[in-house]
Order: sequence, then structure tokens, then C-alpha cells
Amino acid sequence: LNDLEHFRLKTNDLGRLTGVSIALHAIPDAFLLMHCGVGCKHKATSKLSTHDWAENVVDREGWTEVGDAELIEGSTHRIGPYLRSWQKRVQPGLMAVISVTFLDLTGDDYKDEVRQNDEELPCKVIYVPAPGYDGDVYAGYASALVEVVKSLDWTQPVTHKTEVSVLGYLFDRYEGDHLGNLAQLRSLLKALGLSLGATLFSGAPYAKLHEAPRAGLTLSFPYAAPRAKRFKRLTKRELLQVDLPMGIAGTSRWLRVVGKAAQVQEERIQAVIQHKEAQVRKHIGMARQHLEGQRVAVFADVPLLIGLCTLLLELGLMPVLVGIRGHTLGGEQEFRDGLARNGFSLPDDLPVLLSPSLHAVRENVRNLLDRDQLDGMIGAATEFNAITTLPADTFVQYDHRGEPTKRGLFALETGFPCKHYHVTRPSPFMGYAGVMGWADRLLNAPRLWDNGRSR
Amino acid sequence: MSWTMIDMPGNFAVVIHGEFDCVNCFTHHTGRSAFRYYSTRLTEAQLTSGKTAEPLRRCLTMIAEEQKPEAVIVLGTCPVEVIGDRFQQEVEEISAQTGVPMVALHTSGLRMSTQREMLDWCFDTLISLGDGASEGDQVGFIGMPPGGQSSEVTRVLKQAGISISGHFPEGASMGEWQGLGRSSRSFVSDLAIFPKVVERLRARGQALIETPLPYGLAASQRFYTTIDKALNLDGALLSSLTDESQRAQQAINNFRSQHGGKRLALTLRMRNTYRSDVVAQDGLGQLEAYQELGFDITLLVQGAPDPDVVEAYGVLLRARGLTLPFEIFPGPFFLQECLERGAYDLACVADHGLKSARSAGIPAFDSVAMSPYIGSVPRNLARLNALLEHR
Repeated sequence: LNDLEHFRLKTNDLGRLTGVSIALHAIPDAFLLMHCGVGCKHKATSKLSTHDWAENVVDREGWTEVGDAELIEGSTHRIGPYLRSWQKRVQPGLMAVISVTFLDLTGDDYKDEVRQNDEELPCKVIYVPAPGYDGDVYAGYASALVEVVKSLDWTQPVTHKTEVSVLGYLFDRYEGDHLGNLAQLRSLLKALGLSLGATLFSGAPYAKLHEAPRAGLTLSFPYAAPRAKRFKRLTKRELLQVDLPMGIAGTSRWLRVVGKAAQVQEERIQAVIQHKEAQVRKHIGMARQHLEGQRVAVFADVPLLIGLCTLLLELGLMPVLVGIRGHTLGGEQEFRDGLARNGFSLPDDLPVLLSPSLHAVRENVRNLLDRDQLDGMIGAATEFNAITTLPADTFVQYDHRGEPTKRGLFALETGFPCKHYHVTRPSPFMGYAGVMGWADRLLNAPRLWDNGRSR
Repeated sequence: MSWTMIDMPGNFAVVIHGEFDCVNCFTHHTGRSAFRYYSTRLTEAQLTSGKTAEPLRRCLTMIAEEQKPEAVIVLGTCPVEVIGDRFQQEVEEISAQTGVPMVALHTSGLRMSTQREMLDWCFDTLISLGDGASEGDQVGFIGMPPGGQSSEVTRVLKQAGISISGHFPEGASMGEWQGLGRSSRSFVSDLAIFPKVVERLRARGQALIETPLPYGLAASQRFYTTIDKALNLDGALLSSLTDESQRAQQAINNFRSQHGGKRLALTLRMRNTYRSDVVAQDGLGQLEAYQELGFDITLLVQGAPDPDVVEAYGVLLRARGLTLPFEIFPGPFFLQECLERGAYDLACVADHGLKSARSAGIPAFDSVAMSPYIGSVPRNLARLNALLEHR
């Protein structure tokens, strides 16, 4: 409490409710009922509708309109009628109910109310806790995942030995980046003689998710990692923990780990990796030539950060400032460990900001720019909002006539939310194709700011 | 409150007194002052034990010492209301100790209020942080469309020798809000939605004049005529816009000859916004601009479709002198069906409604994409024309 940074608005001050809403949005026939006050609705809609231009955010969400009168008289009884009327209107495959802290403080038993409705309604109804005082967006996503996994029948036998199901894929929009990633995962697995099964979550309807238990191998992506023990208990299976397949080294390692667990022949795995790596290296040569030595500030959650820094180093760029978004997916040590798994390391004195505020991002970037030590930045729209309030002359220099002499740092949006980066065609950021995708984005990145003449 | 102040320039601070996720009720990826926002980050233990004063004291004290803002606004949230936190006492004490003006507002979502009420409360609070009675010749604009600083009205008033104190809220800094009370008169998009602001400014001797929202040609002309009369400019404003008016009229004539009589669905009460120009005039501020284009307009109003509510909307519309057909639909989920049923040629929708219109196969535009003032009319019409031509 003795540091003002503790109180400042963070670049990722997104709580569990946002994570739950992202998870439910990723199941196209799910419905989210928010038992909350008027302001909390925005936790589910505002950022997500900025981020996902492909699918409507609001027409599968409702709220129970709790005000002070409902709070005083008790609000539990409101849940049932709302569930019933929305079920009738929308005919969802799955309904989820969340409540928020100020209602939880009353001690009402919402979970039991939801359980009763689950017994009465023709679709599955789950309760996902979403207190706003702990956890973060990733914890919320994982909580929703836990409840959905719990609703599947894991007693059924494995019937599809070469199928691979996935828990914890962070599917936050129906745009080309995720469609591309899923195609990449399919392609990588196919090269090993395997196939991608149910992926939680991936834009697949609830019924499709019920196929997850039949797969011969279940992968646990990093966004499921904080609840790994719970998933193991629920699925009664040994889950294979994997990093995101990002960068050449990260993707090749992912293939090795998955292939080995699926008992694919070592020779086949090596052949696939050699062939794919050779293809990618041939194409990224020109990118490396132009990007070599550029210094970058990178802001992302730990799994994405590991992948991003791996491929930046492969492309010859140097991270000089790192910010870790959120706090439930690990901190600096987990980031460095993950990078080491891909065979890379960064200097010990590299500044690593843990869940930084907008102010901290702004000041750290300003310091690097003032010392001419930064060429680009990768982060979510929130980090960019923090730095675009800096005066224009922080980014560019002026000649004696007052004209800008060069272009400012490159700016690439990634993570959640993206305000300006939207994609219609499949554009993966994972897998070998993802490496080339990032190379293209880096080569063609917009600038803050650009006089349009320099190169 | 947070939505409105986050894009306000100036050295101020906003503290959200509650659990950290309460800051998530507004967006952080837009707004030039997001980095001046704070949260007391109350824990479960602090909320259940009622020990919420200490984090608030520490936060406010450090803001005063380190940021040295001109003012601090503390916004209360649902959890602190539920536990009965009298946080205004702490705020007053720290303000007295540090000498930094601080205001505590009970802004929780427990008390349902309208967008209009919130805007009025927010604007009034910001004005209250300044002092001084009306003086000089400066004029202000309240609740007008964004882009005011670089707009046509700013240019023509400057040409006429009139000094503008600011465009509120858009682009107005904390200092400009504090100085608004010293303007001689202000032009307001809708006096009825700002009762607190009106009372405060009139008490300081300021003249407040309502104008139409300047969308389309006829409404914009009345907008300028109203200002002209109030400032005794003898028609100077519209005279300086003769060329723009002629081009606008020509564009309207062409548009009417091509598209007059086509069916336009105009949605109301759909937007999650705290933009005062959108909220003004019951959301009907652009209606005249579409009427002058010859559209056959149906109003699609989001609301409860109960017979008494439908009747109430009828009464409200008739009170505005409107006899347009209207239909009530319960929410975004039903908009697509509603649009399909109406077989509209074009839809003016808000926010998420664009996707519903797209699914219905009806060309649509968002009302906030329309530009205000006379000079923008041809551009707006080119846009609508493109939508209708390439459907």
C-alpha cells in the first residue's frame, strides 16, 4: 500500500467476469446470464466487442437487472425466470450464470439456485464464480473451462486413439487469427498422423465439446495450467502440458512433445520438423535481414510472451523491455523458464514489469525513446493507449525547419483487446505459418509516427 | 462518469473506490487520461470487515503528493455501497489535509439512473470544481457533436470575432470545465437533459440557449440562426456559409431524386453510450437530417413490448410532434428479425446492431458515423448513396 503503482490502473485490469464472458463467447450456442448490477455488464461486452468484429457479442448475453430494491429483498429468485425466458428465446446448448461480489456479500446461495434450474431446464446450466477482488481474466477463462469440463462425460472410453483434444486454447474472437491458428494445429497434428479433436474453446458448439473425452491424447494449453490438478481429477486422464507452438523452436519442440506422447515414431517427427523448418527458414531470410538488431518492448501474458520473444529472437530482434499481463499465468521466472525451454535466454538486467500500470508502461517506454533505445512495441490496445498520450516529439525528431526527420517506433497490436488489428483471412500467429505471419506483420508494421519518407 | 472523464485532458485523478474489477466497467484502451485512473483494489477481507478507509487514505495521499493533481474525483462502487462505506468523510479529510480539491460521488450501479442523469451529474461536478461568475464575451457549447475544436462552427465564429471558451464535453480539459462558469452564454443541445448544469450556470448569470443538433442542412441552418440571433451577428454566420449551403442543397436534391421514398429503419435506445449529443433530444437529434432526404422512416425502439409501454412511447413521440410509424423490439437479439420483417432499404443502427443488420442483408450505418454541420452534408450523402447503390 506504500507504492502508488499498486493503485494505478493496470494495462490488464480485467477480472474473472471478462474471462468467463470470453469463454462463453467462444461457444457459439452458449448463453451467459449475468446476475449483477448495471455497470458490470460492460465487463463482458465493451472490450470483447472492440476485439471481435466477426461475431456479435451481445445477443447471447443477458443480465438480471439487480438494483438496490432487489438487493434488499433478496435477488436469488430473479435468476430462474431470466434463465427460463432466455432459454425459450435463444434455445442454447449451454447456459452459464455468474454473480458478482456485491451480491455474493449478501450470502445468498446462487449456486444452488442454478443447480435447481439445471435440473429443470432442457439444456445444461452451470454456475461460474466471478468475484472481482482476486484472479484475473485468465482465471475467469479457466473457471469457465473447469465448469464445462465438469459437464462432460469423462467416464467414456477412448475410442479415437489418434485424435488429440485440447483444453485451454484461448479463443477470444472469431477472426482470422484464431481460425488460422486452429488450421495450423490441425496441420501440425496431421503431419504427425494425428488429428485435432474437440478444442476447448475454439468456436465449436457445446455438443462438439462432448467429443473431447474420446480422444487418445488430451493437451493442456498454458491457459489451463493454473487449474491443472483440477483438470486431471475431472478428466481422470494424464494431460500433456504444452507451451504455445510459437516461433520455429517453440513449434518444433511442441511437435516433439506431442509426437512423443502420442507414440509417433521418432524418425517421422524429425522428418516433419526438418522439412517444415527448412521451408520457414528459406522464407524468413529477407525479413531477418531487415529486422536484425531492432529493439522491442513486448507486453503479453506469460505463454504468449514466451512465444513472442522466441520468434523475435529468431528473427534477429532484441526485446529490451518486457511487461507481463495478468498475474495468474506466472511471472518473470516462468517467462524465463519457458524461453529457456525453447533454447533462448535474455539478459538478467532486462527490465521485466509485472502487471504494469498504464503509467508504468508510459514512463518506461518514454525513457527508452528519450535515450533512442527503442524501435518497436508489441502489446494490446491498452498499452498503446498508455503511450499514445506522449507528445509526438517523443517518437520522432525534427530538423531545423521543424519537419520530422524519421519515423517513430513500429506498433503491433496483439493480445486482448485489439482495437486496430483485425483479420478476415486465416492469419495464424502460431505454428510455422505463424512465424511467417509475424515476419510479415513486423516488416509492414504501422509506425508511431511516420513522416512517410524515411526507411 | 468514468467513460466521460477518461478522455478529458488535464492534470486530475479519478479513483474508483472498490474491488479492482470495478475499473473494468469502462474501457482502458481508449481515452487520453486512462493513466490518471486509480483503484483502491479492495480485498475480500477489507470488504467483509469494513476496513476500507485505509487503502483509500493511502491512495489519495500518495496521489496528492506524487501526481499533485488539480482535482481528484472519487467514485463509489456497488461493493462499498453494500457495506455502507461513508467514504466521503475520508475524502473530505484528505482534501483538507493536502489542499487538493477532492469530490466523493456515490456512483454505484445499485441506483438505476439514465444516461442523461449521469451526464448531467458528471458535467455539473466538473463545473463545480471551478469558481467565478459569468464575465466577458466567451461562449461555450454543451452537448454538441464531437470534433468541435476543429469544426465549421469554430471557424465561422472565429471569423465573426467570437471567442469560444470550449466544446463540452468533447475535448474539454479539466481547466476548461472549471472555467465554463465564466462564459457569458452557452449553446446547449438539450436543456432538458442537463437540469443541474442549467441551474448552476444560470445561478452564475450565464445565458443558456438551446439549439438543434447541427445534422443535415435545415437543422444546421437553424443552429446557426439561433447562435446568430443570440450574439446579434446580423446573419453573418450563414452568410459565410453560402457556398457550403448551396452544395449541401444540391446534394440533397440529387439524393432525393434518386432515393426519395426508400424505407429507412431508425433505431432508438440501442446505444451504450455517454455521448451527450447522442443522448440529447431523446436520441432523435438526427431525425430531421433523414427526413429532408425523403426517406420513408420507421422508428425501431428497443424496449419492453408490453402494450402499456408501447402506448407510452406513442404518447412520447406525439408529444414531440412525431407521427412516424414505430415498432418496439425487446433487445439486440430480436433486431435481425425486426429488420427482415420490415423489408427496409437502409438501417441506421447503433453499436452491436450493425452485425444484426448485416445478418439481415440490409445495408446499415451507425449514426455516430454521420458528420455534423453544413459542410459535411455532401460527404454524408455520398456515404448513404454508396450503401444504397451497392447493397
